[in-house]
Amino acid sequence: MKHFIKKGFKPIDSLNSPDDNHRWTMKQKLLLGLSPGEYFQQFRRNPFNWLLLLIFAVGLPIIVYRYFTGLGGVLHGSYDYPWGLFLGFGLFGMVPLSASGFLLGTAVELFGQTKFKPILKLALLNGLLGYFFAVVFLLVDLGCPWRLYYPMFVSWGTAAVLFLVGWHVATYLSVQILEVSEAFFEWVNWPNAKKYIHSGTIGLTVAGIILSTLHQGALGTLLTYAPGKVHPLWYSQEFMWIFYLCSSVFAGICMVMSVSTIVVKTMAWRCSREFLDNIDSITIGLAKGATMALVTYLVIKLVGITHDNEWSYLATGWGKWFMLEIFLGVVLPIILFCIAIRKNSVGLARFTAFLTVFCLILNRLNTALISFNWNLYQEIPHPLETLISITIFFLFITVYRFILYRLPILYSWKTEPEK
Amino acid sequence: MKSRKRWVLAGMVVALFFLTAPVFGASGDIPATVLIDSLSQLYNGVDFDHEQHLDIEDDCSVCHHHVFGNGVADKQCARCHSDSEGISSVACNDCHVKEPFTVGHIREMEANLNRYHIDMTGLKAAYHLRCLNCHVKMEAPTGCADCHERTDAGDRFYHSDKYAPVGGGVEGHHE
Amino acid sequence: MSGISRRKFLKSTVVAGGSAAAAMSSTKSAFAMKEFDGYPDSMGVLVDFTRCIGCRTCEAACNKEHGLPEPELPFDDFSVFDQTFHEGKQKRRTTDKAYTVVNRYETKGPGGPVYRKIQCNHCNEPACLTSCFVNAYKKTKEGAVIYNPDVCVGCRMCMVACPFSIPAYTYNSALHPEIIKCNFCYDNRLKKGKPPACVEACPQEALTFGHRKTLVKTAHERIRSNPDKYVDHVYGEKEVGGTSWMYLSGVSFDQVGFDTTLQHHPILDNTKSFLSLVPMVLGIWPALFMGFHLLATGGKGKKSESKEEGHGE
Repeated sequence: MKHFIKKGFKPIDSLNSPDDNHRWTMKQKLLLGLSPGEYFQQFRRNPFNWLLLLIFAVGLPIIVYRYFTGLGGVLHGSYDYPWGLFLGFGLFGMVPLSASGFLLGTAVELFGQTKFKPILKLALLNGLLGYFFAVVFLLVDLGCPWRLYYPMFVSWGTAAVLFLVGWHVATYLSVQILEVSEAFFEWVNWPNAKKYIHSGTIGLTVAGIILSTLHQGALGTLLTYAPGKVHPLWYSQEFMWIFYLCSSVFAGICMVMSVSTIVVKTMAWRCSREFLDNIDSITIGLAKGATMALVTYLVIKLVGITHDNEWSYLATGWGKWFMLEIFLGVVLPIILFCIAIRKNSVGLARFTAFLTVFCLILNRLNTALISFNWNLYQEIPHPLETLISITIFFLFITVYRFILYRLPILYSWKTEPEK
Repeated sequence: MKSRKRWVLAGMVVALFFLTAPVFGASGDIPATVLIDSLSQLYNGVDFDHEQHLDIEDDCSVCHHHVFGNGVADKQCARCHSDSEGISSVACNDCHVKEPFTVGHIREMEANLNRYHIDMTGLKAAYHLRCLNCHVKMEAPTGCADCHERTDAGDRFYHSDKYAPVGGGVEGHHE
Repeated sequence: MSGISRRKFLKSTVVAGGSAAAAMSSTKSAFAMKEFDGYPDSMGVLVDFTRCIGCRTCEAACNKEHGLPEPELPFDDFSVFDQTFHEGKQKRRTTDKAYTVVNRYETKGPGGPVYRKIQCNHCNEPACLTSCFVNAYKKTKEGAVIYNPDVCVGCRMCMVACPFSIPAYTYNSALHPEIIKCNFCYDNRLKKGKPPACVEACPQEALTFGHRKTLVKTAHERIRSNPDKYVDHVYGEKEVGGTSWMYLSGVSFDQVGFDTTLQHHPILDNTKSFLSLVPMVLGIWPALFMGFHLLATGGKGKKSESKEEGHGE
């Protein structure tokens, strides 16, 4: 794309073409205003696409294979470790990273922090796609994915925390679809639909924060079903939900920071002037929020250890691993963010955001997979399971990029011609 | 003179007979062997050598609890039965039922929880616990086939001998 | 949606029979039911390790009773006791082909190796049942915890929740995967008042069948009568709220592979502190955040749409 941009090409960002004021067709909008040949050219030129093709060529057949052989074909089929990467990474990992939707939504719409408005749509999209692909991971992980709707309409197990998670994810996904649909309706030119959704923004945002508080916490509560199986340092019977809720706050923020970094570095051509001008100060602002959440998390983690008197565990091998996770994922980011905020160093803030995201995933994998069954043997995920997880994650990236290229997320949709 | 010696000899024979009477039991019909086969299904019956076991342990109460009125071997039983008299039931199956876990039997046992013997085993366990506990202590045979041969139904039940699975391998784990 | 009262559900599925009786006897208890000690007529099994000789007849009986697949080795092959998995870290366990297994443990006790039968413990308030979001499990009034594969979605939460790691799963089935575990021989035996196949088969009555309440008394009486023979603990009497299958042992339970750190209240209780927050959050958050919103916007609510919308730049 940079090649075309240099030549003076401007991707579609308005209802009508600026030259002759004719309505863009859907096909043109899909191709960003390039001809099919040109589109294919830029596709070919981008080395990332080659990586994607390779991953999908290997991964997609394996996913199909999973449905023919049952889970046994792609998992170790362990009875002691029923959950693996699909849930450990895809659900437990991606859901807190998708907390950006309710966080930025609340910040902008409820708390009136208009400073973050340029990044709001990206945060909402990040949230939507994260949850959507968490459901995709679920459809691969469930033994009977065609029965996904059973807890909704067929048989209710209302005492189960998973019941709450299921209903909330479904409802919250709907809320997020509605929130992002504004951008979609702009793009397809359904202004009445857009206005209708827009009128419910406050309601949707409040619904979003209610649902998110509960299911982010509920995911943590799921581990309280197995108190002896999760290592004590990662486990707390009373506070598990608070740990998960609090960590989702800085996870969502850092994920948005990371995505915006990638966006600015790889598709600046798609971003509006407003976005590009403000992204640096937005990044620093987000870093401040993340730091506060990180400090809070550190404090409540210390409270959790004290509450259950787990200090002696820190001297063990697991304790060292725990301290490494806390240092790399909480303490170091706090220090680095503080430096970055002080020095207004956007680059350092961005690096720290990536580090935090990585360590958050590590934390979720630790509770659900690595320190799980710490008294038993250690389980290493099956190679096919790993490949499928990577494939779905890159599918997530692909869909993400597809939408960012087209919908008015990083830029504002113009309905009137420029003067 | 000769007739006196004869009377003494006869008297000694009679005395000898009565002295050895306990060997034959009060009514004089202690079985030499017993065929235990009321539960035979997976295994054939047991040809129990009663006489041999009497040679090893002549205190009947060791196996027959306290039914003969001649003392009690077990400390627990002695708490109540040290002075108990003999009873007419001596066979194991007179007290230990074949099916201890039927609704009826459970109800009967629970009807009076004050009774001590609520924990009385069924017949099959009575045999095995009584016999094997001693066999282990005395280092006597303890293998199943040492006392009773398996039937064809038994072989099928255990998936053994000619019904053994082909290929063998590791089981008891995933995949 | 998620505002369904959990207390209501718990009452309806776990206390179905008991609550009717309780209501008749005392109107207070039906509403104040905080603990569930099992249905009053619940059956149970007392497993006595001092009697088990590791003959595996129970495994064979279970296999026959349920038409389970042919085993890899005959049931009278005792080399299975030497099998270990995961570099010696694990012995045999229940699988998708075996509802129950017997393991051997070398212990520090004087009596030689101890044999232990492993199967579903049919808890009073099972973690599997309370963690299932499609209500696939049922605690029957006879005491069995049974599973319904027709509603199971395959999330495997129950496998995570079970403190004894009992449920197995048929991972290799593409279209009909299901949980596999002991069902207390419910359909053909327990429902009709008959003991499970394994209990009936055991030559030494290491397994004693009866009402759970009576078995607790029997177990304690056995310990009392033979204090040198047993460890003074009935495993399963209190663990995770009480289980229908309970155990007596001559050596300490941790030597025979039992988790002796299990909580004495049901697993479900761990989630109650969070779940009880749910209706509170649903009730409080709207007003709280609308309040924040009004504060942040100076009492005026959402700022009026700026003209910049739709123009960008």
